[in-house]
Amino acid sequence: MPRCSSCCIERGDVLVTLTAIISYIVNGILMGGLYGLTSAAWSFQCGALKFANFAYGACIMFTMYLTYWPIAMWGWPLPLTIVFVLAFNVVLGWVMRKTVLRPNNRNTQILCTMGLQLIIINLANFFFTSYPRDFGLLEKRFYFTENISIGLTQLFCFVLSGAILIGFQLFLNKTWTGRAIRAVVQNRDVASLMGVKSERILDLAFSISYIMIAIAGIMLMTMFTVDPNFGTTWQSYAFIICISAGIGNLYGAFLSGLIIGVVSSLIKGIVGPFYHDPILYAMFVIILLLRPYGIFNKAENVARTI
Amino acid sequence: MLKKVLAVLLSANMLFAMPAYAAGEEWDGSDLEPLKIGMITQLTGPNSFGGYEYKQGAELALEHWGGAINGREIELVFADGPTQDAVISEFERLYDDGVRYFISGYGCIADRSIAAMVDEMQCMYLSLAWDADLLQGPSDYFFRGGANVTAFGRETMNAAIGLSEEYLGIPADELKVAMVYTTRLNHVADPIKAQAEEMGVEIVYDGGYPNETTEFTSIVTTLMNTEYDVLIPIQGAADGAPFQKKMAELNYTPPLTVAAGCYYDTPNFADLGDDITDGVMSLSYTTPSMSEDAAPGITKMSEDYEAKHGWKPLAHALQAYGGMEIYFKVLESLDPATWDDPKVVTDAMKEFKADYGELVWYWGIDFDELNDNKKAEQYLINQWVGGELHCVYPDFLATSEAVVPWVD
Repeated sequence: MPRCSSCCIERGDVLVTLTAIISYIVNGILMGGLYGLTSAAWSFQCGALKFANFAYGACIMFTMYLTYWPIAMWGWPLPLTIVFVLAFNVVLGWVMRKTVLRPNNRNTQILCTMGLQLIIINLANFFFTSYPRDFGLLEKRFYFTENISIGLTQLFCFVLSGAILIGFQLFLNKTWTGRAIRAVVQNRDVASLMGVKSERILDLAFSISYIMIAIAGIMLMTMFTVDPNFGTTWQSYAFIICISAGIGNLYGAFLSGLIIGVVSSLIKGIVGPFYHDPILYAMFVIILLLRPYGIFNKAENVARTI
Repeated sequence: MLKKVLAVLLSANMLFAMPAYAAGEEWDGSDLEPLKIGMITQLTGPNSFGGYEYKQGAELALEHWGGAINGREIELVFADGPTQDAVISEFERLYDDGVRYFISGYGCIADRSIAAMVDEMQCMYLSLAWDADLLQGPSDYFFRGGANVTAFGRETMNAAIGLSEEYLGIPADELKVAMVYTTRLNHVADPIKAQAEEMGVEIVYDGGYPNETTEFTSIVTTLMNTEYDVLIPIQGAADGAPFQKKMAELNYTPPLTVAAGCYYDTPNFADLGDDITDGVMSLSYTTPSMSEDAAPGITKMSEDYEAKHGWKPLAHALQAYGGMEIYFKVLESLDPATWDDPKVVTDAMKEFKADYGELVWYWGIDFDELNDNKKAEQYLINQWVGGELHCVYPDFLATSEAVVPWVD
């Protein structure tokens, strides 16, 4: 192993080379894209629509099982499974909006969705057992050099994440439905006076956000091993990413996802994986203290928004 | 005078007859109610494979003993205990149903709580839990028959040292070890590190990661840039599988992998495919793959199990088999009419001794003042070859030669 004092960090016998650092950063960026993809729906639900959905991580996990089970157990073709998962999530989103998210009281929403999270996790335990499942696929990698490579599935997710983000923003800005959603979120009473059926628009918006969850779940299933508690960690990341970006800021969530991905990767590689959670959450607390409105938002108290 | 003659004759008769009774030859408990022995094991949930191995191992042991001891039928009663709460409630239910003898199931997740209950409830419990500090004081009714985690962790390091010296020619004081483990299994990692320090082994990479970690690119990249001789992973299925897959994706194979059991002892590990699993070693309790010379009866146990269930038994099945054998040996030394009093059986259990290799699981039996078995400290190393475990270390238990370093 080549050693040079100018570009290597020695941590005991662990030599952190320049190529290793580049590898951490590159893979961190791609992981960040995944974080961005999985956080986008939560940022939209919580920030834009003002629905505090704490069953979000559990829904991602359940989507992963719904992707895995038909293909691995029943032999369904992928396109049929994708249609099934998308349809299921749209219906789930609509049902959630009509039931646990019907009350406008934010506290009730939080408690209801927390309860729903436990129900979903236990349903997954019951139907799928808690044994970890994956497709057993080895991700193909593209090698820049002998030591620096990227996973092609992760790269695809990264691109997809960006495309969804841009597409979703265009939908909100350029289509009548998108503008109606924004109008309802900004002022429901006025929007109703203008002829917008606000309840129906909110139902639709929430169902659309579940399409994003479905896409995230399908993509995660191709790369990760799912178990009933899988969503907990991803929900924590979504929470950190959205809050640190500034609630409701979709582009900010994507950028924040990239930052978290790179920082997370560097902590694991350079400082040590044991310190990953304490450092990451400490950073989150510091960001909240210094910029409570988020890194990419203007002054606005995020805690009050939630 | 006649009374005196009769008394002498009667005494002489009893004197000659007693050894025969003591040997159990004259006891016939066939008209007695079957004796129930309960096992609460994980028959649902992520560890159900181990739960079923335990159940089937216990059933096979009873089958090999003919279903009855001293003529009295033995009835095994199983209950599902996927969580600690479930184990406790099932324990109480079985107790209410008249079960007074228990053997712990896979995972032993409630044995600590049960240890606090059995003396008061006056029922016997033979635990196979691996908590070193499970026994907090003398007990009349609670026994711990299996190995403990502290010794297991230390032996993992000893095995890494032994294999490195024998096959790689690296002495302990020059050995460099990398560890990768979920912090949920810190209690296994800590004794490994303690033993490394004691033996002068350098831990060059201490990769403990948060329990929920699912992405391992950074950790594998760091391993690729670290000079070490042996990798010791301590992982469950949820993290072990993605870790191994990530190494395969990055085309990386550690110089030598000596896992500390857990996921690496299970058939689920074999699901990753031979390309990933071949050559990987794992420390284990005594297993059905060990030598017949050291553990007479192990071949029959293994073959009968495979004939019955279609796959070779794991260490888990052997654990339950061995635990049941302890019960049967102790019951065999007693009049079946006395078995309904757990105090009689527990007193006999305290006195029961067996040498290494006397029971099929190889371990001996010698309970100390806390009812902790002092003769369950032997471990072995298995190596994965073609989706099967082969016992390769130590020599007197081995059935195959270790291949180190592994060559495809």
